[in-house]
Amino acid sequence: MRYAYFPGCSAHGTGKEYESSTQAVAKKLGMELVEIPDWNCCGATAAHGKSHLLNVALPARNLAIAEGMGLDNLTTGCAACYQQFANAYKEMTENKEIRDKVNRIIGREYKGNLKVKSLVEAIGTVDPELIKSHIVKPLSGLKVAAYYGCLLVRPPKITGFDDPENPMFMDNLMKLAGAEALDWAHKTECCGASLGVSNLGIAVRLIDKILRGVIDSGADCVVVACPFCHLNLDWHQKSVNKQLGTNYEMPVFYFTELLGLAMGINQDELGLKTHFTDTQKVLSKVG
Amino acid sequence: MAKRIGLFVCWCGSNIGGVIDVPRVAQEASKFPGVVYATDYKYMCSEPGQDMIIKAIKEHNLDRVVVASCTPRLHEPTFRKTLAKAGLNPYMFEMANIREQCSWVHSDEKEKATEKAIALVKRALAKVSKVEPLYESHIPVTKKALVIGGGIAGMQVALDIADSGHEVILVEREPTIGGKMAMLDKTFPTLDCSA
Amino acid sequence: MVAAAQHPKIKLMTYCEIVDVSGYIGNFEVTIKQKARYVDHSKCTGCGTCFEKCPSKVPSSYDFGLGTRKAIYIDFPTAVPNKPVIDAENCRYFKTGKCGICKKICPTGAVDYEQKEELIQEKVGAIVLATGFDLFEWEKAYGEYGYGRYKDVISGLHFERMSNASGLTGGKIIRPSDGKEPKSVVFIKCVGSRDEAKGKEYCSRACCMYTAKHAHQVLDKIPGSSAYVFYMDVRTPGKAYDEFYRRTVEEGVQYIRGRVSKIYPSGDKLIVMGTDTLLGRPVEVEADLVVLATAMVPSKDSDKIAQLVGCPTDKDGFFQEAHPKLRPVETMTAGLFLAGACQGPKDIPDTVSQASGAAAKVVALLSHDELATDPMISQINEALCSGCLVCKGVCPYKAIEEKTITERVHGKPVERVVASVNTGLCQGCGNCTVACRSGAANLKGFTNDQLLAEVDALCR
Repeated sequence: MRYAYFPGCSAHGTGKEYESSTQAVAKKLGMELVEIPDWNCCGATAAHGKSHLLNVALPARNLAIAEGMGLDNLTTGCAACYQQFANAYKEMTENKEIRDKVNRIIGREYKGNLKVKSLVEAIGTVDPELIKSHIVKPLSGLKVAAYYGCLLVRPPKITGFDDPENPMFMDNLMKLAGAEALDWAHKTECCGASLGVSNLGIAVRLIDKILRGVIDSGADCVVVACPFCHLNLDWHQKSVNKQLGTNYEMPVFYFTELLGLAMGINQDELGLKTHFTDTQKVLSKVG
Repeated sequence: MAKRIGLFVCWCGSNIGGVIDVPRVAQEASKFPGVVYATDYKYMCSEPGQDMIIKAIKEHNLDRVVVASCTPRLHEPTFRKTLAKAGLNPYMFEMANIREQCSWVHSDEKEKATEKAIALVKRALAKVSKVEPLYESHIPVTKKALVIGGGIAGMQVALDIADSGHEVILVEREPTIGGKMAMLDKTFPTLDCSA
Repeated sequence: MVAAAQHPKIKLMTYCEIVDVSGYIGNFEVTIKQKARYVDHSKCTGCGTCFEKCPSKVPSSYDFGLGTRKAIYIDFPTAVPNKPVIDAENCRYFKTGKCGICKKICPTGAVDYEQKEELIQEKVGAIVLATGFDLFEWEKAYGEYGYGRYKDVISGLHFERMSNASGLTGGKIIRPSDGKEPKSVVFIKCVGSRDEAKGKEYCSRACCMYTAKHAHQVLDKIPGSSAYVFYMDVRTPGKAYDEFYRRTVEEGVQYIRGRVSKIYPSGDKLIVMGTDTLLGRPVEVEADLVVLATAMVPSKDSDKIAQLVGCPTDKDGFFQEAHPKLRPVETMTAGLFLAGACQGPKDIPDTVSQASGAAAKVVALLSHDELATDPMISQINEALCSGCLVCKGVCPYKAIEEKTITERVHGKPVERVVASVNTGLCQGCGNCTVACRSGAANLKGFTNDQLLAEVDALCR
């Protein structure tokens, strides 16, 4: 399966573990991720507050280039990028007036033939038997809480691939990797997103609630599918501990990291050693 | 045989009369072929109004009647009975609705409303020229009722019918009657028991 | 219940289903299926020995799994008739061929494993639909309340089975998860009602009052407890209803205007997150038990009944009355009447009133020996009818029948099929006259000739 691939701005910065583990897992599964040439910012999260047209035009330019590559699907690991693309896809395919305007603005034509899938959906719809055949080091005994965040499965009329209240795609992938995916109640709560930068006081309360939920569920770690979620839950754990007097030491993994680990890919390649919160203690559980 | 149509245009107080020039409607429509009597009155459905119709049928030897007034949903049965009282077949009758379909919806265009009322009355006159007597037929009645569902509604219906002396079959798909109500504890607002 | 069972004029047929209805007002023919009970009720005395000794236990669906019943069972101690049936799916004898305990110990020999279902024909003059309601399946729609995964989030009817003194808990309100008495109970109204996104547009009408009753019962039965009600509006327009609601507020039930956005477990508690829209603030309540006032929906399979009897349903699947104000218990099919929640959500006082109304209509109908039929119905001009029977397909009242007539063609008798109108069934809708290509179908009182004359007069 070939995908037009949109790395997004965090892939080479704060989210580089996500990028490297994504590439490694995709290679194992025979998924070819073709980076969109000359891609631009997806618009998250500033554009939609500023201008509706800009908000559609930014991702639409990438969609048009990717469509020009002759591919059927675009994928991206970042939940915010995905949301932007999924929204642009909907606007461009359902609203002719917007489509004509935006195509004029970007100086290209997006016809709506290229569809948008989040990385979770792209990997989650790979034949489970194929995934299982690559699992050489099952994560037996590892209890995970899959955290989807707010943008991956909502609003359902834009995303639509998983249940907005109790999504299961990542849980199922973790089960395939041999881990135990626990039922818990905060799968789609907000992590605070950019408030982690601009208003940490609010963000720490939200992060605290999620981490408390993880601990209540009995999980050993959290699994995420968004660089921003990872940043807030991993990096800002320290801030939560400092501001609220908690003592969380909860490892936060990208789902591709754990899949990769179960596929026998080494930790350095996956980026497991560059997290803010220690990962080694929990990973020693699975050898 | 020549048709002998009677036309009665109703004011419905000010409901019609406040908008439409009722006497003009009666006068204009009376030129329609077959109309041998045309008049207007404040409330055609009232007792004096109905008496007017009966009297006119007899005096003018009318064989069919048009009443221009409100919706037939309201007073068609009333006027059919009036015709029957006067010895006519009740189906030799037609109504023109110049209230709901005219005066109420065109209250700000009185002149045009009057013209529309005349057209509506002509329509009724055309129809009544073509009507023929109709007769009801009769079918027997099996004096037994079937009630489907044995909850509070079904039980109440069954008991009320049965108390009048008629037989009732009460069918329930579950092994017991009582339905949802039997599951309930005390019921509002009096908090008495539901069984 | 007992009154209905003992009335000499009422023939009670439980564990039965309607399988066919034909005929018309005054003359319906109905086929009723008596499902196999495997217990001969003419011999059974209802002594109860069989279900005491039956070894197969099944979670009681009647009591929302609060307890168990046996494979040979009655649903509750005061059931009518107070005689058991065998649930063959869960019976050891039917599953394995072994056991047979109930048959051995029955003192009157009433247990009969060979009993077959039976079809019974009945002729009736009137039919009343009183098929009631079921609860909206919130477990399929409300993920934010846990999709039914949290045991201590229950429906109002489930709550009733607990607070009912003849239920399995003997009237004690407990948490289904651990059997403990809840100290903090949250009620959520309009779950599935007035919610276009996830449920139904309409108001279910009874929930405001039964929620007030439930909240009152919590405070009344559990000392030191607290009860919270999340609501959108409080609608209590019945006689003595608002007084009842005011009393529950004065008793200390806390009413919070706002929707609940999420329920999640925390330890053995449930955290109820919502908004108090009067204060304009988010609120969180720690609850031991959450009770949902779920919407009323038409009872399961009522769509099949609607088809059998030819009764239209509204957009939500409730049976359609003939007129929303003036003919609320009649249907567009003559001789077919409605009572209770099958026509729309209703509470008990409204149901009883409507039921008595429907009964009065039936009694008025049955008081006649003969019925006059509306003469404004369809007629077929056999000379023009080609026998194509397109009219039969478009008739919503099954009023068109085939009829074979004999004509003389060139001196010889020839048989051919024409359409014929059943004057008892025809409601004069005119569908057939529109569909008829040869102009053979005509509606008396609205003939093609008459309608054309009207159009002519208007166009002149």
